[in-house]
Amino acid sequence: MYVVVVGGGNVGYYLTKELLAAGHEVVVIEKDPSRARLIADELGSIVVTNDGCEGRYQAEAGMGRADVVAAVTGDDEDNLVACQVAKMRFNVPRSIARVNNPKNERLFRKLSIDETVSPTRAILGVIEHEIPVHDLLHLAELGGGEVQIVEAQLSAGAPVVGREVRELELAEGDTIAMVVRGHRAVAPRPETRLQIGDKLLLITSADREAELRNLLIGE
Amino acid sequence: MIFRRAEKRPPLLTFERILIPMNGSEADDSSLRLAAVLIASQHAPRAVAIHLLHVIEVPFDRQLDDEEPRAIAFADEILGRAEDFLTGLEIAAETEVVQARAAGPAIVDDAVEQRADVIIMGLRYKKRFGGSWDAGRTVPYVMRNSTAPVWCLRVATEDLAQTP
Amino acid sequence: MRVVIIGCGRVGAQAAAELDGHGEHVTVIDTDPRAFNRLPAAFGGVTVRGSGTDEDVLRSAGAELADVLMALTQGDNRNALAAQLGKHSFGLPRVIAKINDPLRAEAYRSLGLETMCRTTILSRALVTAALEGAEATQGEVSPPTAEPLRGAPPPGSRAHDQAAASSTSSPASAAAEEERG
Repeated sequence: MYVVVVGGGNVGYYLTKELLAAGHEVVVIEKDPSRARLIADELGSIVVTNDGCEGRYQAEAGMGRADVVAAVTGDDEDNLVACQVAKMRFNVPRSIARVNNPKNERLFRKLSIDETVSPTRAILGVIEHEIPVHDLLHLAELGGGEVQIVEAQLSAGAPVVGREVRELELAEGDTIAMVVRGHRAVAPRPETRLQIGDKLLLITSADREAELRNLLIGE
Repeated sequence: MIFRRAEKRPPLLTFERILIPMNGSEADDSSLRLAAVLIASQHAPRAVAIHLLHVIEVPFDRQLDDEEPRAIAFADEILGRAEDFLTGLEIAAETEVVQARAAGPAIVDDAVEQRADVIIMGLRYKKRFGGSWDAGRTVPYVMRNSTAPVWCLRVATEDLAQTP
Repeated sequence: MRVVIIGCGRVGAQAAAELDGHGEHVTVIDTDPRAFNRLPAAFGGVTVRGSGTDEDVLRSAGAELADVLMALTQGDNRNALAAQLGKHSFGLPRVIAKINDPLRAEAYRSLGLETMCRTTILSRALVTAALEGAEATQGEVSPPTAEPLRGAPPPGSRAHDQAAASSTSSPASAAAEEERG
């Protein structure tokens, strides 16, 4: 695959290194000359030293034949514009943007950026895993956000503790995909009785989320 | 008498493998002539291996192995001419064409691969827009990164440097 | 009319002051509180310190209720992000982004943003001034008015009329911005 990486900071550097190691062809666009030289010294003649948001430098980097553009600078606005220019001018089939402000993820998706990666959200996810939360944890979105994969952790006050799966009044379309008990994954059966500490992996939709949370975790 | 003494003296510099990167400019001529002089000074001129290299720089908008007939023809032409020149002096040479994103790193890599004792490269006299001298990208890169010694010959110019 | 202006540089401050003078409800956002010193003492609008590319800041500035959002910071990309936030996250009826790179301005215009490109405005004004001579300019080079330099809302719409009315004032402030470089 031919990948154009916009931004040669730490994320861009290690991404490029891993992609090269995996046998992909990669070009990095980095506007800071000393940073660009560092990468070229380490990884070879694969750096275009210029502004990766500008069409002509994207052209120089061969964006016209790129399979993927990954915009991973530290600035959301630069990542957005780099991806939009790549899409608009070069019809790059797949665009990936690093998003620092997790609230921008939804907007980026709406603006037809194919994938967003938010380190902030990832770290948030890890932290939320560690401490009890009274909300659904978002694990993934499918179908442009229509289908949500969420996790619910059952603490002592959860209304469904002690009840069997078949007793739950899940809305049509909502599914319990898995129950994680301790470190074991249990396939939910109708007679599975829910316990304190269980983590339920659920498939739901954005508009039924609030209802699902009330059902499982309480108001 | 003096002639015989000189013949017995070992050459001041000894070379077994010389790498000459060529870009098709008039600077190539200087490096070829210097190489010929050096070879003539060796005890066993025929034992010296000359490697003529031309690097085709492929822009990122094309795949690295994507061959452009015009660039290949140009490479063949300049390397062929250099080979002919050396053959006229009874010097044998190998030629090589390499496709790379940038000539500098390709030359440095090739020098390692060929185990070159010296890289001899010519440099045209050029000024940047605004008047300051411009050594280009390739020669400074090779100077900075090559483990082998690099001899760079700047060709004559009538255009004098203005900068103090 | 509620106007939210992002970026209190010379362009932003002047536009804010003039709109305020017209009695419009103006909110100006800038990351640097000192930027608000550019506003005249009589400015009656609201200033909000924060990043105009941050949804939360925009919300706290009441951007959700704005009739027009103008992104006038120094950064083309920041303006593009802020304007698209306004258009797509808040569904605002009108967003205007100052984008100084003509190619990018063109590209965003095709995505439905109204863009204002200083480079294009100034160069057109100067070409006109050169071709028409000193008598025509009378000491002040002003932008050609024949062609609106913006997206194309349908003629007769509210946006269309407003743009026609504003196309004479904005390039003058763009010229002021140019001095700053």
